[in-house]
Amino acid sequence: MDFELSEELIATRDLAREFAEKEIAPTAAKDDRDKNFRPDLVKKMGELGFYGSVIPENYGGNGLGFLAMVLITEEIARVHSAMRVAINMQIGPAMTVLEFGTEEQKKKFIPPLMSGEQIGCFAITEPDAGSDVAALRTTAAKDGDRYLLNGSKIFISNAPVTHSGLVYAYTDRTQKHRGMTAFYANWNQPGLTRKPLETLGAHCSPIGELIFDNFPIPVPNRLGNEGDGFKICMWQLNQTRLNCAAGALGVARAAREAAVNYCNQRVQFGQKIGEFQMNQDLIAQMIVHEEGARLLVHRAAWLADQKKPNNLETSIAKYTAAEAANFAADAAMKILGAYGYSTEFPVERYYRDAKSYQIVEGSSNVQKMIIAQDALGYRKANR
Amino acid sequence: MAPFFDQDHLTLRVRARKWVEEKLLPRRDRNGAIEQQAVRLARELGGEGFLEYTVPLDSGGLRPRIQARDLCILREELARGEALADTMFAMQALGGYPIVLAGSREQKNRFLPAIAKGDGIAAFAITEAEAGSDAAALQMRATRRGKDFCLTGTKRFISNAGIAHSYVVFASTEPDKKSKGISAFVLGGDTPGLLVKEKTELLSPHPIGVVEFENCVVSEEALLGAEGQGLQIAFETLDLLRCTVGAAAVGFAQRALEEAIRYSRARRQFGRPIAEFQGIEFKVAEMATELEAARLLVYQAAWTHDCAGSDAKRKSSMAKYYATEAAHRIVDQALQIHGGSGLIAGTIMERLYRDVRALRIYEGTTEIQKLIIARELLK
Repeated sequence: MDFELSEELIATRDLAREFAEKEIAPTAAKDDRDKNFRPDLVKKMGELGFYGSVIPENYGGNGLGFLAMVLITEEIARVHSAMRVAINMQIGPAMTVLEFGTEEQKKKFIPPLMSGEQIGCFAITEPDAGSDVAALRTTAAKDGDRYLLNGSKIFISNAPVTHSGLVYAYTDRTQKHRGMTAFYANWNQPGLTRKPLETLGAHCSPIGELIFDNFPIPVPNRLGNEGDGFKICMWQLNQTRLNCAAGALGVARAAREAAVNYCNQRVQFGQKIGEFQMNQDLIAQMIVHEEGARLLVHRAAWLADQKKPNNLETSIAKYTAAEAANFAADAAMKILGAYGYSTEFPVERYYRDAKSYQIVEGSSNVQKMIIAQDALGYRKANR
Repeated sequence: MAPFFDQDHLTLRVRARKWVEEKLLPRRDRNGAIEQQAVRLARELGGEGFLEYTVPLDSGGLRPRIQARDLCILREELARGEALADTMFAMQALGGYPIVLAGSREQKNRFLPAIAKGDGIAAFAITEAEAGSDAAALQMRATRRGKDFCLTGTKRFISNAGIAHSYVVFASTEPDKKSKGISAFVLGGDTPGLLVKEKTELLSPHPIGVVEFENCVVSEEALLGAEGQGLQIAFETLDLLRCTVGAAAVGFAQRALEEAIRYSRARRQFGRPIAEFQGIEFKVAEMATELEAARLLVYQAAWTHDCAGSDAKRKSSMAKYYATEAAHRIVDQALQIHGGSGLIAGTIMERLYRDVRALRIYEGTTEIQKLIIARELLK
């Protein structure tokens, strides 16, 4: 086993860290407070190649691999978790088109996502289809050389601002999940209403509803065949899940760093509070959870780079990292006390942002279900 | 604690505490077979009058109605002293209560006064190899032959197997009716065909084993209540006993906390008593807080059972679930405070660590309690 990162990966990570600290950090608190979406930063991350690590050069990527992707993502999330969401919204659709698209689709759809010129998204969740993806109700009816979408999607990251992205709908509801189809849609068509939603955290990542009323998608924008949608969706979620795991890692690290800094500065009862055993206990636990999660995330990414199946390992990594982030944010708030609770300091932002990692891309409960069902032999995760 | 108690409950607690301190704790003669120790303890508990709380006045007991609060107080105090004393007390209640609930006058007269004196040791036989949490899955048969029943089947994890004078046994009289075809019987310990096949050794020792019924013929007078009422009798019995398991957990946890406090004050490391380290102080604070919460849940459930009635089932499940889980954590932390000396076989911490474990399992596992709580709320 080799635990050393290559020089190339270290350079990539350092570049992301430098960018995050110089470009994102100075305005992170203000952006969060004002709920600023930052298309300029999305563009800049594209220019630096942060979306391209899992995409070959001929489609506008750089092919550095999945380890590079998780390293970059952790660095960005460490400084501002909401900006991590922006990365996933570019990478998720791009990887899915790369895996399931025709040559023409790849050439057309991927490069603008890589550069950040097009803001991406993926639209799966509906009011009555959360963990139970197959329960979605949006339909796509063929109408000549196009499909007409009807239905509504909810909790779609980038919904208020996206230019194009993935959407899943039923072309044949009688076939149950085998009747689901995936599309890559341009949203600049009539028949789409966007409604923004407010959430607890990730305030710079706009989120909302997409409501379709005979919304047209040309037949050439269909990914794969009719009926491939569920398979594509599950594949896509496994990829975007790994990015979430890396994001959670960033939040865990940010919270731990804030707690350690504070412990070394704050004096009570005549000594630095880091010298109290109770705080040492919390810091030790934060580090253990975070380090364990990092090894799991890197393993899942490494497997992907080796072209080996990693669904199970990704679920394990995402579950662990999400729990680590929430533990760390809670522990940091305990250590910082009223300063942690105050909006003057970033710990309350970590606390709010951490929560989403236990929910998105398969909740912690869904990850546990995947892990347990694999162990019990009911449903193998790596098929 | 006062809101849940009358004066006589408080007096009973003082009495039980005194007996444990003066008679049970100083005892050194823990040698000899576990069965002998168990029989002797049952007699002593009877001699002290504690077992009179397990049966009602008309059958040799003390109160017109059995009170969950009496049982909880006694189990807490006995468990604080010694696990086997608690087990022997609890078994009299568990094996006696079905007879209290459904017994004929004759059955009551035959078994209950002896249970109240500790001369008659009681057993309750429902569990089988393939029927644990799923009690209705039991396979034991009671086939009617004229005025008799022939009992065939094997029960396991039967406390007091081999030393019991009465066995309440659950068997299917009409297998087609599934859970509604299960009936209860009460048998003397010397009934021909009732055989103790195996003594089962457990993490925390007490007399327990496998009981086999081979061609065991009993008259229909052994039937407890009506045919088909068996599961109802079993569940009603467990409804009473459930919160008392929580009380035993509170007793173990109380003892663990006392031991942890004593040890952490006496033990010195790095130049001072370890009680002065925050790592220990916070453990003690967490243990004490969880213990209080557990105790309140237990006595609230017992009070609800005795005085209010409605919602007693949910509350006793909550009490058992929370108190047994909390006791497990408290005992674990107390052992952690003791370090290596807590691991030495025969020491109080080592015993508590073993004794506390069964409580999360018997008379409805934690998982079953959660099911009960959720279903009561969602129904």
